[in-house]
Amino acid sequence: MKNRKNHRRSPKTVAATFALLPFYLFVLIFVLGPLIYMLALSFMTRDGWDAIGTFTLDNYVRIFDPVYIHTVIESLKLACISTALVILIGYPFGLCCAFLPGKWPSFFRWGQMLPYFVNSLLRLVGWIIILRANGLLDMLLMKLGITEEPLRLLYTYPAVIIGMVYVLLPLMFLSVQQVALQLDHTLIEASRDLGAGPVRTFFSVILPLTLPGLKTGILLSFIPSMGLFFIAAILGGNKVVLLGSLIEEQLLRAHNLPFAAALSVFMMLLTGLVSFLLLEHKRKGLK
Amino acid sequence: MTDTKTATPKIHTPILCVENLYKAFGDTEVLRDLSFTVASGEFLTILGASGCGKTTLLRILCGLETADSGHIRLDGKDITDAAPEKRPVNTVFQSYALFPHMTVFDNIAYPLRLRKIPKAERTVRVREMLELVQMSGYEKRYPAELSGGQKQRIAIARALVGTPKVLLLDEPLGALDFHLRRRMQTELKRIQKSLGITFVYITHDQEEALNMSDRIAIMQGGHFVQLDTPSVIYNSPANTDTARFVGESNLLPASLLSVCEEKNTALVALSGQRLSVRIGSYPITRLKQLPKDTPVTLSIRGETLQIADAIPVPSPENGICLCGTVTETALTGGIQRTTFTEDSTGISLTTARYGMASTLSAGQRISCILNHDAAVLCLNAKQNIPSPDIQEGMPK
Repeated sequence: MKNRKNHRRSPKTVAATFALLPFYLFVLIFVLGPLIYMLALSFMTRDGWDAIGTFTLDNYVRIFDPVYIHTVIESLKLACISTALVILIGYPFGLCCAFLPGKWPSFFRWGQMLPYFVNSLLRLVGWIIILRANGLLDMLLMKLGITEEPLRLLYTYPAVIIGMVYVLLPLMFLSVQQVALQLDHTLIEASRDLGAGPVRTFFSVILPLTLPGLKTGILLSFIPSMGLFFIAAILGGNKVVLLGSLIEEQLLRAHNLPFAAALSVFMMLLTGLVSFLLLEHKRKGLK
Repeated sequence: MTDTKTATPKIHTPILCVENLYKAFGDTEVLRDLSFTVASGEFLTILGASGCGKTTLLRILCGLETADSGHIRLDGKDITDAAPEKRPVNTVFQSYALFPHMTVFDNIAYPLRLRKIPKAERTVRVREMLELVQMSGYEKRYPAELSGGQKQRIAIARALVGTPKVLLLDEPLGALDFHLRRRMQTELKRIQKSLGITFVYITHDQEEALNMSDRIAIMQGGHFVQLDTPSVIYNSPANTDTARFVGESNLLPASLLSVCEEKNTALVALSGQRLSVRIGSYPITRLKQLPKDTPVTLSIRGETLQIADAIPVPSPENGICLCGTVTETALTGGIQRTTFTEDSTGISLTTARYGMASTLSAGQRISCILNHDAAVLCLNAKQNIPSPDIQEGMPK
């Protein structure tokens, strides 16, 4: 009885289905279409500037060539380091800001979002001025007597990590703060009242309850960090090659479309796997 | 101010002593030199309107707020500056504050886990608690899967599992419906009696206070106006506010004739008749200083005003007769209330009696008998408060 009631479609539901039709079509044409095309392309053979429809697995086999697999591993390493730094900086920051009184949380939220009004490439060029030899950072550190020689950070591995953290930090901050703002503070008080000190309360109550925000933050930082090739290009001077840089290079410079497609599919599988592991865990945890 | 000397707790060992507690938020004084003692195993209710400072008092007792001055002693130890986790005091929060990511079992086991009590013992004690609050079999549920009343029981179990010396309850039944509230009142009393733990219960509901407490503290403007047993609070309210706040009360002006100290009564003139009234909580030394014919206020409970069915001949030995015109009759839950305007004073009085059969209607003449010593003298609320510039409805 109950089922039948649920299955009966009211005129409203029918209307809603039709109203959503343009959206379905949009997704089909602009999202699913290119993905299918890319998947097909990754099994094709290169033919000069183009690809011909001869089925092959060579593109995938080639990924495991020491030259390329090295880039994949380096890229994963960089993603892990920058995500870890983003967690270490963004999580406490987002959490603390949520506990501030009055308008402070929204002040910091706007502060974090403000740079997004400027093109990200422009912002990275700004970092060049800061990080270059005898740039702002070097000048400041030498003035303060912390270093004696310029660090010459630009076009090094740390510079790329700084850029990554800079770009990804707001995503972590915002998703953590969002969840932390919804945290019921009486739960913290209850934990203290029941005999838990501040540290214990953090690990037993605050961390588990803000974990969804932290996980969202990790997903939002880890997935793009595999492919932010322009950071590596601008701040790393192409000395640091990411999986994203590799795809860009294969696509725009080597014009190897099938191999670029295979690398893209591989990257999607990799990030998809990370997301799956995080989300699967999430489902088991909180009710 | 507070006459604790008439209080008669059943067990006399004090467990909680609060001395001269003072707290202000900015310019607002929330607690003003509050002092009281709670006996071991006692059920003390702090009753007050919202904003009287009762929640702040509770938060200071459990350590979530610090007092500006004053001391709190628990079982002989000064805990004024102790962190909340270091106090053998637990709280049942108004919003229950159950951990949403933990099962019922884990919620209750939380204080035990913190004390590193072995798993086997933990399980036994959680089971015991669940049995006590009649929630056995709910171990694996999450708080989101429980009803309000069930959450309440789990919150009580979690606060009690660590056997605190004092359990603080912050309007725990506020969010429950009428019938559940009644049932939980009985439950709470049963739990308290069976464990012998001291309860400090905060509420704005006078019915809860009268039902469960060994003693009630009436809180107003940051201090206790009266701290006594429910029957004393009901029969001899400290001031007119208390009289109105606990139960329903008719307040009538009268003029003082004489004081009879041996019988603890006073003779007053009310609508041209002489009536003997109880002195109650009125300070007798102050009363004796008052000259003859000073206006005083009487508190008359509705049920002590008896409607005379025939026109009575008021016999001066038994009491007096108050006549008037009925303005309103109401039948609520088996109690019949009749409001009438008294002839000589023009004041509205309400009588209450059991039964649903009312023959009275508005406009009818009525006469009521008020026996000697049924009414009680009552201080005017303003006289009772030490500071003259007290504002009504102190903000929290």
